Parts: sequence; C-alpha cells; structure tokens
Amino acid sequence: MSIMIDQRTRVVVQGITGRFGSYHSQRMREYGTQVVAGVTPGKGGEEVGGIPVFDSLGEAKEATGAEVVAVLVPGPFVKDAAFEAIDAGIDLIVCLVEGVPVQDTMMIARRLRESHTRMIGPNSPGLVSPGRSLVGFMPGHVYLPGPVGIVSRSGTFSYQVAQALTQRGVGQSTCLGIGGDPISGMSFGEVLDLFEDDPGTEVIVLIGEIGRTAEEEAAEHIRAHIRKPVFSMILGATAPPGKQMGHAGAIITAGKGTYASKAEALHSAGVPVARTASELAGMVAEWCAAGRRA
Amino acid sequence: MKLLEHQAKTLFSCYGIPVPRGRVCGTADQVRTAIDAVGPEVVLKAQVPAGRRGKEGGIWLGSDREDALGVAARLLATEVRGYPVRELLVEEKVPVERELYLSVLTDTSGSRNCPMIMLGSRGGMDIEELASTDPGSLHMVHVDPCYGLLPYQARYLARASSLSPKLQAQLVKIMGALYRAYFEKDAELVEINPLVLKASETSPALMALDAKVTIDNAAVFRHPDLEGAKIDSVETRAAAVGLSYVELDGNIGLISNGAGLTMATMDHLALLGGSPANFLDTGERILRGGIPDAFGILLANPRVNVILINIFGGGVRCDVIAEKIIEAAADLPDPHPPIVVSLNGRNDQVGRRMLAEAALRGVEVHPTIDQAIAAAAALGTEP
Repeated sequence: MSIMIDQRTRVVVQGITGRFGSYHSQRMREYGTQVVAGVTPGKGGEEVGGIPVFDSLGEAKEATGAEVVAVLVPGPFVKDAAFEAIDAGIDLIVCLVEGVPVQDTMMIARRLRESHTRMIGPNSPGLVSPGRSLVGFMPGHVYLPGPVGIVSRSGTFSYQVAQALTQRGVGQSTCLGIGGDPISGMSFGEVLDLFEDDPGTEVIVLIGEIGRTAEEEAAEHIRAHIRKPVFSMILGATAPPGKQMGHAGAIITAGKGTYASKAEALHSAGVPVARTASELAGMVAEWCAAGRRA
Repeated sequence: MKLLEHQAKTLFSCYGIPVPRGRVCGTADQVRTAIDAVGPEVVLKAQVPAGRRGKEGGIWLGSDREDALGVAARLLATEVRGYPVRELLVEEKVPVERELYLSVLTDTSGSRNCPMIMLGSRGGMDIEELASTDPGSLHMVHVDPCYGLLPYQARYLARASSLSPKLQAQLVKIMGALYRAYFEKDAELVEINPLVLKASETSPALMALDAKVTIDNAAVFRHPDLEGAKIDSVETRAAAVGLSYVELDGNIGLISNGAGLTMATMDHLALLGGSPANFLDTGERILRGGIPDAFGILLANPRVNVILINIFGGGVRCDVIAEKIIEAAADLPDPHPPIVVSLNGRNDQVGRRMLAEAALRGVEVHPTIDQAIAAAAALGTEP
C-alpha cells in the first residue's frame, strides 16, 4: 500500500514542453507512472513523447480525468499554475519548483485552506510509491516496495536513506519530500497522519533539517497522534547560525530552528535521532527484523 | 536580499513613515557637507548589511564637527562586522523620549503561513533579547494575506503601546504603511527597532530611528526598483555561477549535491572528528561547469587541505559525473590537496570504475559514502 499515489493515479504535468517538464515526464513514464497529459498555454494539440498537451488544466482534467498535477513551470509562474489546479478541482499538487516567491506560496497556502486540494512542496523532490508510481525527480531505481514510509525536507539525502534501506532488503511504502522552502503545503503532521492510517506502512522515517519549527511541531504531533514507530534524523548539526544552507528554509534565525532544539524535541517524543544515513537505515532494518521475528 | 539602512529608510519615506533627516556619504568631504545640512548634533552610521553595528563601533553620536570628520574618515577605511564600510549615513540626532519595536514578518510556524505584525512596547534591544527577558512587552497579530492588515487589528496593537490617543493614531498609520511595504515589496521582514517617540514639548511624534528590510530572494525579479546591499564575498561570487556555498572554519573542502546531502556530509565529517571547510551544493550546475567552478572556490581557500566529493546521482548519472570530474581534474594545479570521491545512485558502479581506470593522481574513489567520509576525515585530521 501507499499514500496519495498508486498505479491508478493519473498525472498531468504543468510546463510539460519545458526542458525539465519534458525530461521528467518521460522519466516518470519509464517508472510506470500514468502521465496522461501535459499543459502549456498556447501549445494545446501538440504532443510531448506521445503525451497530449492542452492549453489549460481544466481541459486536460476534463479529457483525461487526472487527479494529480506535477508542477514544473518556472518559479514566477507557480502561483498561477497552483491556482489553476485548485480551481480545476485537482486532488494533489506536487510542486517541484525551487525559487517560488514566498508570498506567492503564502497565497497558495491560504487558497488551499478553502479547497479540498492538497499540495506537496514547493521545492519538493516529489513522492514515490515504489513499484507503483513516481511523481517528481526521485531516482526510481533506489526504491523497493516495503513497509517504511519516509517523509523528508531534503531530496537527495532521502534518496540516500532509501538506497541504504533497499540495500538492507527493507522496502518503502511511500517516500515523500515536503520541500525545502520556508512555507510548505503539506506539513510533516499531515503526512504522518496518512502514514498512520496506511495499512501498508509499518514504520516511519522522518528526515528534518535546521531552520523553521517543523520538526518541533512534528515531535508534538507524534507524541499526540502517531502510534507507529518513528525514526528520525536532523540535518545541519554543524551549520552556523544566520547562514542559509542551500534551502531557502534552512537557516537558524534568532536562536530558533537549531539542531539541538529539534533533536531534543524528537528525543522527548520518544523518537530516536540517528546521526548518519547508515545508522538510520540500520535502526529501521533492525526494527523490521525484530518485528518479523515477533 | 538585505537592504542597507539608508535604502530601507528611503523605502519607508516613500510609504510615509517618518525617518530622521539624513544623507548618505561616501567620502569625508560629503560628511562635512552633510553635517552642515543636518547637524550640528549628528549620528554617523556605518552602512553594512548586518545588525549590532553599535557594539562594533559602527555608530557614533556627537556634536563636535572635527571629531565627527575624524570618525567618518576612520569608519570609511574600516570593516564593521566583516563588511567594508563604503558609505555612512549622517543623520540628525533625534531626542528620544521612548523606544518601541515594530515589525512585519512571515510567520511559518504551526502551518500559520501568514504575515504577523509585532509591536513591542519597549524597543532598542535585540528582539530575541526582548522575547526572552520581557515577553509581556511584545504583542502580535496575525494577518490574513487576502485582506491585509485591518484597522481594528492595528488599533488593538496601538492600544498596547499606552501612547496618547493622538500618537496611537499615528502608530496605526505607521503600521498600515509598514504592512503595505512588506506586502508590496515581497519582504521577508520589515523591522523598525527602535521606533522612537521624539521628545518635543510642542509636537511629539513617532519616527523610525533604524530600519531593517529583507526582500525574498525568489521575488527580487519583481522589484527592479529596489537596490540591495552589494555584498562582495566568496558566497555571492559562488551564487553568481549557480553554486550554493557557505564558508565554514574547517579544512575539509566539500563538494556535494542537494542541500540535505551536503549538510548530512558536513555533520558526518564532524562526527568523525573532521572539520568541514564549507557547505557547497552544486545543485543542477553539476553538469554545467559546477565541478571546475567548485574546485576553483575550494582551492582558493588556504585552509583546505583535503577535498571530499560526495555526489548522489538522482537526476544525474554517475558515469556522466565521473566524466566531469576527470575533465576538471586535468586542470587542477600540481600538487593539489588529496581528493576523496564517493559516487552513489544511477550508474554508480560505472562511474566509480571510470574514475579508477583514469587513475588520477591524488584522487581516491571509495565504494561507499561512509568509507569516503571516513577517509576524508582521516586525511583531514592527520597532523
């Protein structure tokens, strides 16, 4: 089982005729994702690698019944793309774009509250339900179907953790990146709830990083609502305060968002905090082995 | 993008927020003229994109003209908080009766994701300090970005200031203006600290004694009218070629891809007693000049005596990255610091084999990330 996407999920790509859009549409298709349409205003009627292109998302949804949108337009156009998706009644927006103006994301987040649409990202690597569907940039070959749900703020590092699990024979139900920007659509808490309710997920991995207060809030959420075991890691123990570490959201400001505060919050919620990818994968693999013996 | 104080004050003026009379000066001569215009009692303020300037001698108050010129000449030849002082703001000295704090920022905690306006009935010190020593003096209101700051919200905050009704009305106006500046200019933060009550028997009034504005980097394209602080640093030069770089104080130079993987590698090095010299995320530049550019930046840091390349081939293939490393290695100086490489992900075995076969001098390739990090940490801690 998986959360939010599976082999039946129909995906439309906004910005499909761009360099990233066309490349990643094909990659997703190769993985087995049902990429049923693309949208680029003014290019309706064209095709990209056999995928039909529409002028608007409304038309694409009407023609194909797509439920999920992968956003691959440049940052300045994301607000428009997201509002179009919300108005078209799309279930899930996967916003893979880095460099979205924060106040645009703020407006999108505000609009999402009044709709049934959910958004992952911006600045997310996407999500993958191994063996079923992949919406995003993730390297499909490192994943294996299995019981571990991964939710992460980082992209590349979560690939490394998934690979380390796969190498130990431990597969994943769904791996999802909430994004590295100051504002994220779905929070850790919302994703944790989906994993909690997913019968295919037995154990959860949470990968946080310095900056913001998402991990402290996740720790509180886990204490109150999550019964499945959670293992974690926080990136940026060595990051100096006041410096942005790549991600727009990864910055320690005014003494908030430090490694110590996050690690402490997770510890006190009973969540082990690993220090390296292999240590994290080892903990999870050990838990899985013990569970299977039991 | 941080605005310098004088840029922020010009912006405030445009929105009708009162600021002291002042002039921006780049030379002692200009300072002389400015003192004639706004003096005799003046404040000299070094224009650098950093807070706490006062503690490092970046702010001077006085009325003696010759002293002021001496200080100005010295400040213009020095650095404050690591930034060379290119300009001074020469301002009239404002008699202060009371200090307050006012800011608008984006509150991302608890999935609130909306603007927050904050009033401190005390000001002048760091907001962090205020929050820990006297949290009761801070009052805040969250704003629905669809509707903006409503007058009743501003009135509620103004009441907390316990200023006279007339000054509360002025404060409400300033809040409205500050919110508009935040919203229209895509700011992350607009802050007036201190917002002062100017002492005057006839017409006491509020005024922004300091101004701090940070514009969202992702939205700078929408504001060609705004000029931020020009910061010439190795970080900004790296950013200009598409590399995300932060200098740290260690000796193990790091080239990695993805912010998370880069941070994780730094942390892992430190765990093994190593000391990272930098954060460097090549991002999507990795196939387009990212590796030679990264070598250039790392080799310019005299502390770097080991280089660790840790790449995870997600979107990119490791064989292509190996090719880029081999190409870039041909242009390395001889000798160069030892280079430790870890390639993982798509086609990693092919990539590693290519590097092994190229038998580059001073380059070692390890089959796992853990082994590569351990090797780099060991090289980096050798006496």
